Amino acid sequence: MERIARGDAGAARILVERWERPVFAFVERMVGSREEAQDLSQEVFLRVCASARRYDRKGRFRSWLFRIAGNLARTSLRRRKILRWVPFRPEIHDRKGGGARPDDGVEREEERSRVRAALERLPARQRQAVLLRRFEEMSYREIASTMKISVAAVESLLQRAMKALRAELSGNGEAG
Amino acid sequence: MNRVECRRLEERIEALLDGELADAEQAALVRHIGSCEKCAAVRAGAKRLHAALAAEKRPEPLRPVWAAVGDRFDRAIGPRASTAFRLAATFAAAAGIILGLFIGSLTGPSAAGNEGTWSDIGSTLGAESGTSLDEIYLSGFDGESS
Repeated sequence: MERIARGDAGAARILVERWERPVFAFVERMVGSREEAQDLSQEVFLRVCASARRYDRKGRFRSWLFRIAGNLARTSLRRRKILRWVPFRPEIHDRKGGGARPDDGVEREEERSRVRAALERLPARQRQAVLLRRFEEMSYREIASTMKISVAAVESLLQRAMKALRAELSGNGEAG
Repeated sequence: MNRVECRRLEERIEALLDGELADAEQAALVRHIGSCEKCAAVRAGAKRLHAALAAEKRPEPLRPVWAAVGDRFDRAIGPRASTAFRLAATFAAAAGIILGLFIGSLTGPSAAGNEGTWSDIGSTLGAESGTSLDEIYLSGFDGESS
């Protein structure tokens, strides 16, 4: 980070190439759109570079990185709330020219993973906690640091989220 | 069936499976699961969900992220003070101070009066020695004693 703060583009590239896949995966699972996740991932790393001088080495880099990613993803989701009438389906958001066609979304959703669909229906903070625990394998303490909440709050988010997922998936005959 | 323990397990099943409980509490819940079919089913269901999530394919970036970040890297970093830049800035500041002092000495009140004083001294010396003012001034630069 010190090298990046001094303008070392080579160091920045190494960092981006090391973390782009987990960051993209996290953001994509948060917002449900690959194109949007691509844009947001770029923004994550630009913010990392811009904040390099202020980076606190005492903290864990991964927590800081995913905090930025989570904040950007949730901001994007909040903006999307004004279009609440548009179903939360990536096929619609990725389609060129925009425009919501719920019929297309209903047809395609049947093809997609039920688990993934259930994940996307979780509230943003519950989803974020699940992604950090189940896919990034962060401890509760690290998730707490990333989301700037208590460990007890992390457990509560995960408990509610997983309960909701189990209920939804058992209703479809899946795990739970 | 111990309803209190069952309720407790439901509330803490995730922390139990994630190994986040204190040893004593974990041991107590594991003992309860061993004697409660309902809670054993809850644990099994939770583990199946964990496995289903773990089996999800990770989405991959559409394009290398650096391609876009690299183009905007310099703007993201902003102006930075390299060693050469700092040295140049220090030198420029010092030169500015020296220049300012020099100009100040030329344009200050005492400087204005000196011209007349030096001219008078030169005229007096020239009159006494029979040499011109210029000859007196220039001879000093040649190292000759007056």
